[in-house]
Amino acid sequence: MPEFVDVTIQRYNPETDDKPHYQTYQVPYREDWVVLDAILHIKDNLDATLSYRWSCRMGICGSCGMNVDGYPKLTCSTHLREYRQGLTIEPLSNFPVIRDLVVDIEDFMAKLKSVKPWIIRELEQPLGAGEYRQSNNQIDNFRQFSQCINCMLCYAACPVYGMENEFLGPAAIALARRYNLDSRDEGSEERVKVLAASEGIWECSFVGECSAACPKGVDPAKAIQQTKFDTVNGFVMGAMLMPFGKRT
Amino acid sequence: MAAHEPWHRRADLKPAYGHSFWWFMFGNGGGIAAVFLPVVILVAGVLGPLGVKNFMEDSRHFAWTLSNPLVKLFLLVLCFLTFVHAAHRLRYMLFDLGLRGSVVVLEWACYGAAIVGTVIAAVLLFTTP
Amino acid sequence: MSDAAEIESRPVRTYRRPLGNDWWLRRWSYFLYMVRESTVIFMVAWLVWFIFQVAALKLGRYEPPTGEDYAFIAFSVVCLFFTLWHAVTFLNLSGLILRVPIGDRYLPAAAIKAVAFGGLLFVTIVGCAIMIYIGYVKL
Repeated sequence: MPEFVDVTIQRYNPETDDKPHYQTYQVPYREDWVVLDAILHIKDNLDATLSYRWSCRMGICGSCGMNVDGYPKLTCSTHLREYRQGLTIEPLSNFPVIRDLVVDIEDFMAKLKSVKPWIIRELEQPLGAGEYRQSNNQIDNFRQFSQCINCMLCYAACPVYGMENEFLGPAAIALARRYNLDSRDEGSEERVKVLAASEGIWECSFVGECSAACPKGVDPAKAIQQTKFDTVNGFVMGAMLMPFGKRT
Repeated sequence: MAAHEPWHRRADLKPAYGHSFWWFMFGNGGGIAAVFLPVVILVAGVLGPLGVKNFMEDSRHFAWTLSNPLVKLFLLVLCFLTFVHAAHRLRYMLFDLGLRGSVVVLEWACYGAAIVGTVIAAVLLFTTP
Repeated sequence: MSDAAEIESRPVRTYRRPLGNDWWLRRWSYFLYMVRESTVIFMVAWLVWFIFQVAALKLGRYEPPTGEDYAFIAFSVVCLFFTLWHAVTFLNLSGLILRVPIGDRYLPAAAIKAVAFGGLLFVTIVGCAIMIYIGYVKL
């Protein structure tokens, strides 16, 4: 059992640095620690200047996403015991670095907002009509895609997003689909122009790494391919049956 | 690619029907090619040369097979769908390998080659008595 | 200017890390993706050879490949290998993408995949039978 683990962290201070550099810290090894614990230890005891994001420390808020040995992970859910020989922590891939391990997520925020991830209805049901009823089967249709915690590990894993930053991206498309499939929602038409735009679903070449990296089993790759299929079906049906209304 | 406004403020978003069409062709092409191409390569490319008699084993049999209009149609569809499927994948592969520049030229080159290949196949198949 | 206003007005220099064109060499799963994509090259190559044979037939110069054409047999084996790689990876996705509604549920993905691979097996067996049978037809 090693006493200490070497934790190498990519540092970047925009006020003093032109580019990032690496700094290594000796962190006490604890069998039950996660990588976030090591980072917290560094900040509390070794180097107070280290900057990073974290919150719930239990894999639900999506704040602590970082690259651990080059692969995007939630640091609160990644055990230190898998890296006894040492590890390297870098900010999440494919996002600009603001400082140290903090990345600029405005691009994702804008894309998320653009798909309108909320229930869209032409007319709200009046209160007297009671609640919107959904069977378990209807909820099962979109349950998986509703598990997304907006942690952006999928964007970090996606080479298409890395090569072409305009790509709408896995999480945004998966969340759009979550609402398109919700029986209470009537917003598929509105979302089509965002999803089926040139840099929307069509940029995806089904590498599948987004689903591999997702810590919540959302399977955004599946969501994207299903969206492609349903979108094309919608266009074909629309061309044949217009102007009848249709669900995509 | 040109820098855009942040996505939630973009007013220029509209469905890309061109992309949709080629993806549709790619999907169907992949399915047909996946199911029908292996057996053709197995018989004509591997078993045949190794001694198993088949439709390509001499000119007479090959010509007789190709004289059937259903066979011509099947082979033409197989070629067309495989070429289009390949064109779509190749186009994205070239992106993945870093080829940037004019996207439109790339699209024309890939899908154009698929169409040209199909036309050549059609001419050869349907002018063979 | 107050401290807060002064800090707000400083330009932010975020650091961008480009992915690089060699991204697919950095992880095994990325590499397998590239292999999957490149299978189409072998499929097209073999079909191009086939079309050349049709052209040769038209010109009266068709010669069927024999057991001594080692290069061609190797070429076909390689093409067949990658064509099957393509078929397996592509048909595996059929269960993922195709949703067949039954009431307000959907057919399980495994059922759709079974039909897809069953179709491949059926076409291969029947296709072999037909293509080989033609070779025995007296002309």
